[in-house]
Amino acid sequence: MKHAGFELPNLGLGVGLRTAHYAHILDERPDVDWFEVLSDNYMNTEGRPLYYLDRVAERYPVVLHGVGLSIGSTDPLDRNYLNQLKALRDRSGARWVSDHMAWTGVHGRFGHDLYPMPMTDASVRHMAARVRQVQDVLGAPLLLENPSTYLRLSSGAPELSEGDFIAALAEEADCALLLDVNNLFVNASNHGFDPYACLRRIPLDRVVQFHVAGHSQADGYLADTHVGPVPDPVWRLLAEAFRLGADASVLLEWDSEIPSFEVVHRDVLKARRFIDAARAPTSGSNVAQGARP
Amino acid sequence: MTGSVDSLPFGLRDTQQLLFDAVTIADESGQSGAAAQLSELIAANGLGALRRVAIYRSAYRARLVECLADDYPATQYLLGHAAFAGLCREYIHEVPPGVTLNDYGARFAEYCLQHAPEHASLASELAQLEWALVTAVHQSDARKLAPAELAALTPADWDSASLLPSPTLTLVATRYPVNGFLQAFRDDRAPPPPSPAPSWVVVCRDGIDVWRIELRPELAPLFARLVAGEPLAAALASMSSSAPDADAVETESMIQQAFSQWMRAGCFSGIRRTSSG
Repeated sequence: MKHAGFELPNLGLGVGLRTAHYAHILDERPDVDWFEVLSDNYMNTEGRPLYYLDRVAERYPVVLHGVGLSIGSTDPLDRNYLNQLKALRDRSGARWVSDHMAWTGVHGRFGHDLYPMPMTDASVRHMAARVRQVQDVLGAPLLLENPSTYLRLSSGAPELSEGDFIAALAEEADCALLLDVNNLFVNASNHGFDPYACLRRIPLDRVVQFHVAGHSQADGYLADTHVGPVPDPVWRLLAEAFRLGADASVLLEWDSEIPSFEVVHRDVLKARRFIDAARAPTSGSNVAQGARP
Repeated sequence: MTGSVDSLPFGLRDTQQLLFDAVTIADESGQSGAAAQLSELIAANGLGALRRVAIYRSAYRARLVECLADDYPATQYLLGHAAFAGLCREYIHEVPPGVTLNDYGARFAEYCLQHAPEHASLASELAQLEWALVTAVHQSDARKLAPAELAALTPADWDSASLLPSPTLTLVATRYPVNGFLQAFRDDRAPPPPSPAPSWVVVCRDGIDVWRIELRPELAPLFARLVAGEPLAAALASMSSSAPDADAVETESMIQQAFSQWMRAGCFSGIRRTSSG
């Protein structure tokens, strides 16, 4: 069930490329379906990071994932950043490029974090226009990811639910989605909504990639730390998306206390068990209904 | 690609400015005027509005401290984690990050010299060495000067030929033996702060290998002149004039070995010939 125009391949189960694993990947050539590359780490460098990127991209399918587009910022899009991103995409042969439904700075200053947008129609229109500009420059599909957020900005205008906001943005920008089910779980906990109800509002036919990751209990909230194995509630949310008809690549992000490559790889392979169970006939009664609410 | 501010959602720019200030500007109590103003725009649900802003404020600083710790692990060890984090927080306040974090630590060595709570000179020099390593990683690859190219120069060429340093190369001259300290730190030998002793360390990258070459004191002026682009003959002459009593055979052997090592490590990328006219 893919939306027309988003028939990008299902790459299987991938792992986020991290420097700690460079040597293992190049020496052992592990049997991994694909890698996601953090694009910002390979821009503004002409040296060793590109050597490793080139070697990995020669051997595995790769996609680019960034945090610096600042698609929600009210600053003009950074043409230099976009040109570098396009050059990196061309160099690596990345199948697609992704970034977040967020902003990272304003007035020419940079926070290097993903700040939330007010979940309003005005935000949707603002970001959608910028997504179209980015896709024109890149000449490649841009996937938008739902970020983890710790506050909701209230602008006074009518607000959309998280699921409706994601859906409206995808429709308005006519873009594909990277659905981070860990972020969905973390946000549901921190903002008090039902992640399963939210999932049913999201157009899963536009989802080309999933993120799974671990999170941590902080002082009164869940923190999206990308540490540790993926918790079962996150796997179950992923399984529910597949049960509802999603069919997309899955990528594990592990960014703190990074263990050996084998441990990370083993964890993402658990996805098969959850996906297979979700697609089994006994649990698949709603699959044929598709993802639309 | 210029977005007209007039076409932007009403209030979004002001809201972003407000949140950004609340995250990046804090007074001594950890609060900012922007945070208090912003609290009216944030839905409180369980956690209070200011507490939610504080999550972002804490993450902003933690990310930048982590970035500096990645670049300066030995300096962090020297100063101690708490003092290093405190110094970083002051640095973050004075040096806001640009669009990329790759060069965020570029001014940290200078900052250490002025602001480190103790071991300021040593910390600054150690940071210089660690920054040279970061620079070597990110600078572009260069071809490696082959020994045969140097050997092919005629004696007459030496008056006008100079060596092109690799873009990855830095000569770190210090008053403390920072390279030994860095190595001991990397070997988990928990080194104490060293006493002053002049040191010259060449840092450069050959492929994926980043080299640190400790220069013998008598070779340091020669290397500095070569890196500065002096013709080979003049650079070598300055060495013999600085040590007129040195054994000529031993000196020549030492220089040959040094050139061989420098070229193996990729310190030089080519030969520049200047006309003498």
